[in-house]
Amino acid sequence: MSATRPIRRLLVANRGEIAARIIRTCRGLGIETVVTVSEADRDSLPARLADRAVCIGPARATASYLDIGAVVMAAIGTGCDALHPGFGFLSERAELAAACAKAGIIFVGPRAETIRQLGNKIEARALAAAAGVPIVPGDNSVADFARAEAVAREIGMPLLFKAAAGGGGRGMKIVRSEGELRSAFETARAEAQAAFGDGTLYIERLISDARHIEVQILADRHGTVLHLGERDCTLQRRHQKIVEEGPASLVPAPLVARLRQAAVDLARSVGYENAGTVEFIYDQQRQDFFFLEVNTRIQVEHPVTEELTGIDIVAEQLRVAAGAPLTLAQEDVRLCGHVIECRINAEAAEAGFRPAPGRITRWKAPPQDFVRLDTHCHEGYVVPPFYDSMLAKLIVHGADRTEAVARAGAALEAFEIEGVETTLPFLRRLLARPEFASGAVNTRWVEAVVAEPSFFAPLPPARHPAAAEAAS
Amino acid sequence: MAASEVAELLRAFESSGFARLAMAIGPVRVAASRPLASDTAKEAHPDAVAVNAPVLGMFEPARASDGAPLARRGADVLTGTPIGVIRVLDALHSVTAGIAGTVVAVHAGDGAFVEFGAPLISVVPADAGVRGAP
Repeated sequence: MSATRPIRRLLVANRGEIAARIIRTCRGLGIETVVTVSEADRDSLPARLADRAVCIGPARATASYLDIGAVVMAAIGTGCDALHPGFGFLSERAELAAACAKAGIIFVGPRAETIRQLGNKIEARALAAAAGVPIVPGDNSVADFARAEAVAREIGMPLLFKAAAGGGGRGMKIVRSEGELRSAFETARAEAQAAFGDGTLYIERLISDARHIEVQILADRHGTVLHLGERDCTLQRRHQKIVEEGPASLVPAPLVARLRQAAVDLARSVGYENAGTVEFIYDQQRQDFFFLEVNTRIQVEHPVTEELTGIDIVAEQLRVAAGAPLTLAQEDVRLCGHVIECRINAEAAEAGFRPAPGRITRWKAPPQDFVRLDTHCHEGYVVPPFYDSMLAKLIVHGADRTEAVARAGAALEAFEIEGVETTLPFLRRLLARPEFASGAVNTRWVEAVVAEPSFFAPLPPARHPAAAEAAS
Repeated sequence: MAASEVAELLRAFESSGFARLAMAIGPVRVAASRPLASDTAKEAHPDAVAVNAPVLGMFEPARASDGAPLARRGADVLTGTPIGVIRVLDALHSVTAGIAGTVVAVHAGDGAFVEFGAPLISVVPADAGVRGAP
């Protein structure tokens, strides 16, 4: 256990809205900031907000934001005593945490060893099981049909065969009934053998009617592990979250309590430090949940939790990274109301969500009541083509879910962005769907509704009931 | 902090060799910057070309056997003349002039922290027809 070291100057090793968001908290805490920029981001909002911007490389992320040497050297060269990796880029690379430790720079995140352990899916699954956290029923070493039959009988239908030796969908087969088991087994085994030289299969229960629920955790090196409640991130498209909300009011309360405890148990079992998220899949048919993975960093959707709890997660990250104990206790964490976050991307949703970089010619944010907007964008900003397409996160608070849904719809309706195509029209349609209001959705729902021919059909103005209500 | 003190501070900054100033005394924050050295070299020598850092890191100039930097002010350099190395953690990146001519300004001293693209030296190309420094 090392001594407390104050953070006086922080390197923000990221870009976009998260860089701006981290700088904002540092200003409030009196911590100086240096932000890393690529050549494409020299004039970005984070570069102007930070006390200093340091150019670490060309626009190409592999030679700038993903270059561990350049990032750590930037921290050394500018006299920073700590580094915040944000999310994406290098945030879950154990090598970055290790390089910081070697250079005597505080890494704002878990220890390198924790990142490595939890970043390995097989190891993380084993750690979860060892901590008593439920894992998706299955078996990872099915070599013959007799074993496959036995496992299938145990976990039930439908199930999924995967190649034990690799990913990428090869050797993957869904089995919906016992009659299909043998042919699926033979096909999957042959594909796995051909693709990976190893016909060993992995069988897992297929949870087709699932919600994605994740628990925010916060831990210090003095043995305190807290949960800050959970978020429901069921609205996804190709594993990319689109809308996140909290608390998980559509999951039975006793299960939510167990989920939170499971997350704390897992974090405690690995001696977790700093902020993290334990992700679970929730089976709506069987009303059961299973561990998915741990994200060892701050997440895109952390504002949902901040708005629910009033806790500044970045400030807490900096506190525990400096070695100080958390001043919060579990009973201090209270979730107030309901919060919904929408990710607004520069994408043409109707054209298969094609990225749409370019110059923003008009930017009119919705009124600030009940709304938090995390963004690095403004009128005249040129969205570069080199990075992810997220422009802003619109976070809306309501006393309960019904009010939050209405306010989110109204805020989306009031938001005006011109010059680049955005997912605003898509989000307005999505949130206006009755399934969203009632909560009758699962992780495949967005892809299913987007595939409906009528989804993108033109609608009359003020089509959102909440917008009409707000306007009246 | 009185306005006269800020003015004095800015005068001191102006006469210093620094390109950037940032300080905070209590609630007062003062920040100032001035054109990069390469811009002033450009004014004095319109034909000058900057040799920029290919990576971010700590610059160490290449030296002749007598210890003097190879790319010192007034020295002639060839395309392949080593300017120095840039240290990035444990890795060393060597930098060569990439252009033949006369060095008219040195922007990065020994041990200087240089950003990606920062000017290291300015060179008036040999074929520019203009000789730079005496």
